[in-house]
Amino acid sequence: MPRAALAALAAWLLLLAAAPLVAPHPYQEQYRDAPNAPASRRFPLGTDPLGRDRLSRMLFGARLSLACAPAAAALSGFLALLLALAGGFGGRPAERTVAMLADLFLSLPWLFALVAARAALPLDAPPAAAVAVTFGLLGGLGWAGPCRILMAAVARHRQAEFVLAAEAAGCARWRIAAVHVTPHLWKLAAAQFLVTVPAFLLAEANLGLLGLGVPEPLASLGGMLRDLEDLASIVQHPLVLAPALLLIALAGLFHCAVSADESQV
Amino acid sequence: MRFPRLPCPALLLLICGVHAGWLHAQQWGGELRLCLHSEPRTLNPALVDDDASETVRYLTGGVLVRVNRVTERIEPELAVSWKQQDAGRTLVFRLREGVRFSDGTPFTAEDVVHTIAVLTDPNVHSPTGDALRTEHGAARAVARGPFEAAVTFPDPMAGALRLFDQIAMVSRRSPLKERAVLGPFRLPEHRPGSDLLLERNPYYWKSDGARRLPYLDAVRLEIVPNRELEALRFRQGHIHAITGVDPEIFGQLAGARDLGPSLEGEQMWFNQTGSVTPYKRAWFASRRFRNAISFAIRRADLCRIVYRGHAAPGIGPFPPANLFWFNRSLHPRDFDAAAARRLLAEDGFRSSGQGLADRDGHPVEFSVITNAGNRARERMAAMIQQDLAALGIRVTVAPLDFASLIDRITRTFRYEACLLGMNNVDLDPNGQMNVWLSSAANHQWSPSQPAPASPWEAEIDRLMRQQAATPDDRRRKALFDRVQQIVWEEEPFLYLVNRNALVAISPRLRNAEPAVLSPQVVWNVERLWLAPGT
Amino acid sequence: MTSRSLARQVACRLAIWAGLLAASGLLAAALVRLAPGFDADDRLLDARLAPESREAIVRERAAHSDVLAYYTDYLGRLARGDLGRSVSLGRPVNELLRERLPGSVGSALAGLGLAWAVSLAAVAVLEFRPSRWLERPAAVTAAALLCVPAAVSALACVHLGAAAPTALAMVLLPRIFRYARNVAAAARRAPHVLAATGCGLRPGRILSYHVIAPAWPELAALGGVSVSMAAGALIPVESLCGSPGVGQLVWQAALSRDLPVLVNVTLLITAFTTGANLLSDAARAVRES
Repeated sequence: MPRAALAALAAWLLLLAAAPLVAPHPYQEQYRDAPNAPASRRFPLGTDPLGRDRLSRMLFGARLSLACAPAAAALSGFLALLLALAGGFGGRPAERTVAMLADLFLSLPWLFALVAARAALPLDAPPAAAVAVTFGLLGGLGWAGPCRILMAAVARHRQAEFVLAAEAAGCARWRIAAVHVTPHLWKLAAAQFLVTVPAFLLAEANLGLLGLGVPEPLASLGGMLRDLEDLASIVQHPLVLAPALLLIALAGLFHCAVSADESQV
Repeated sequence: MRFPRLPCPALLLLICGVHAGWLHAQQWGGELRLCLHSEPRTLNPALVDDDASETVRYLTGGVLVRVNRVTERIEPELAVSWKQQDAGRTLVFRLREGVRFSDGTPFTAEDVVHTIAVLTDPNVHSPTGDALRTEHGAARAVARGPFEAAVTFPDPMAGALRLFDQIAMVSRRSPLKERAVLGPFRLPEHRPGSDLLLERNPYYWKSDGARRLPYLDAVRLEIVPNRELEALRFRQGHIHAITGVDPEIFGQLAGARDLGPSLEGEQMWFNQTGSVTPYKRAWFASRRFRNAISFAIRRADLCRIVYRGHAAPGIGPFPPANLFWFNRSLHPRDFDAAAARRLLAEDGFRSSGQGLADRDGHPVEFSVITNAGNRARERMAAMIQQDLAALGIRVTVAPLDFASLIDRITRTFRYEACLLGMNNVDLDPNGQMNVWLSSAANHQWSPSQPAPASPWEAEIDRLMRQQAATPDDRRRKALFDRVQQIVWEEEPFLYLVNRNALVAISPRLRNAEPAVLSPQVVWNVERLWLAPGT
Repeated sequence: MTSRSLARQVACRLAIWAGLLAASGLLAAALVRLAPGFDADDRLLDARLAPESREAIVRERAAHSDVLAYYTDYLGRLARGDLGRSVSLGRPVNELLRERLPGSVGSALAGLGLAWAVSLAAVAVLEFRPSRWLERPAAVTAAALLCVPAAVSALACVHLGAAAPTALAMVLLPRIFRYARNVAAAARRAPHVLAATGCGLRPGRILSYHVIAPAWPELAALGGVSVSMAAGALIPVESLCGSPGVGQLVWQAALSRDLPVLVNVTLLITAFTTGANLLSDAARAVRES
């Protein structure tokens, strides 16, 4: 089953990577004779309110979102792990400092830093730069919560017998941290990754409300999910759900692939 | 021969009445429920400067004259008559007698004097107060008797009378101060963040025969910023009317009405200040460039797709809904790609492999800022992006949060083009003086100029000052028509669309005659009543 | 540990906590000040204003320009119980918070309680009945809920007549479940659990004594972090459910760069977050000692 999930996931990701070849229409082209069109031969998943082919936008949008969100999640995960290990193995003062920093990061209104970053970018910056800045900042700011949980796990594992044995054998602290403790944090890190990827994807969409999202005419999965907020129109145009279903399918496959062995005792 | 026995005449009348709706007479009582889209910033009528506060002021305040929202004509309200004296500098109002504030305090000319004094206090900064000021000072009022008040302006102010539609009278003697009101409702309860409950004013001066109006017992204003939520509450019957229905959900709301063109529109303009790169500034300063961009935009598509047909192509600063002031000889610019190309060619722009370039080889590209979160504007910007791409012009759409946007267009001027909507509250051109005078701060494309940068801006300055000093409305109209003509030719603002007024009214709400002018549904609130039902 | 050294430790912790609060307020003020739009006011777009009024509005905005001066003044007033005045709503901040805080805290606690209860129940079921036919649907449901924007959850709850805590629970549940599930799964792999199973201990005892108990520090830390997740989720949920709480206030304050409100709310959130994390650290320390 996990192999099947992984295979399906790989197939989808290949399809998304090949979006420029597979998409039936250019993602930015507005077919003004057919706004909000239903599914048809010309537009397999219909069109959006501006007459752009939904399937093409979904493929390109998913390609962009699934390239950027996991990268940002990996960045935040890496920072969380690094700081958790530094705090866990650096002694009491280091632990307290990292904890305080994490608490600060969790409480401060980083929104304004994002807005300031957007203002620092020139208005005609290429869309790629705006996207990179947005996701880079999300990744750089999102480490605090996971770090706290990882620190608790590090603190617990530091008391384990095998760590004591390694210390007694003269193993260096960084080696203990990297080689002996980190593998035990894998499950937590995986959980964090699974939670953070959709969170960043959706955060990008919410940041669109402040002008920080993916700029026009680029498509992003998060941006397409914003259309769901008009719940009443879902009844009239059910194809609006397509991007959400794609995201759920991909996230579900990913969760299945990663949480494969929990059912085995 | 026996004639058939006629039913009793009373019974006959009853039957006819039921069919003719006579028995659906006004129901007294009931609580009208509406939504405000933000919390009112102030409940003091002198300080009102946002929509929510203005709605509350309309429902609670008593004014000397009222602009009828349907006919757009001035009607007597607390003033039964008025006359102009002193070459248009003084307005003398004859007040209605026997009127009392909501706590019983009598209304006299002293209250008019006090209200004007409060508004023209130098420490009070509000649009209503500022409208009573000119460069030479502020208006002053004196009481010429218990029911006669004279308001004198330092300069003859054309269109001064209609300012009094916005000036809610405040009592000089009442211990409740500004909370004592003359309107149909008064404000006893305010649960901040949630809703405002306005109760019937027991001393309201209008009556329906023997009983005092309003028919309604109360108006509950719920504070609901989210339009989706408002529509949901309307569908569930919790609220009775919506002003400003989203065109996308218009078709799904029973009771939704399209009132035709409103006073609101969306426009785009180019930054012509010194903050722009010099070669781009040269493009934006060229009339041919602006006209070409205007010709290249498919306004019909914007109306059809973004507004679902509930809008018309924009023409000028005043839309056709402004019955008196709109210049009827003007028409919207239709899409004309050939004209756009011709104008650009005349200005030295040439098509190259990568798109359009100016005579020095700079590729023609610029950014358009608009406020993020406003879907209609974001969509219009995306459509304009595609329209101009057909000419080889690369447009970058940069939605910004509203505070950043205002910072750029009022303070730093670090932008190239902006797409925003302007709401006209005032029908009179004097309300837009600060937009058309080149020295003023709202002259959006190049504010606060020490001297007019171009002959046509100088001409507009001259015309606007002249019309402000002329008492004769027809002469003023001729002058402002010329201003509109110049604006249409030079296009400092590219008027994109003129939105329709969309409202939704519950079938229980009777006597509603929704109008295009704000407040669209409740302008005749004292005569609205609710039929019984769920 | 003597009572004197305990008192010293507590005093030290409190001092650090107070310092953290003060730092967070200052940093928040600095962030808000640095963001563009701080000096802007949408009233300036009104063409009816006279030049003097425009200058008065600009002066009003500039009054908070100097962050250090503003913050020092604020701390002084805070000592007297004066939290300042909201720029966008024109009312005292302590009045605004007094009206809105109870509702928000209630919603947050109810939402958190519901999310934790359902998550722990789900983890317990999956532990008692390990089966891929339960594990997969749980994983996919959690994944699906993670992919639904908070705004959509809130609106769906409104349509269905549910209140803000339900929407909040819908947003928090998949995150808490995912972490809790993985924490439990990691703990289950420990050799002593295998030994306990081999000895024939009941699943309930294995779960409570040998799986959950050792993983207690991580769960406590998750509890602390979930408080800040709830605080973040309150903003879209309250705005869309129309409940007048602190979340709605914060969103409006952020859009209008209302410094007094934002500084006060940051201090509140820091207090709650650090308080929650302090409690979880203390619980961990007690468990370890």
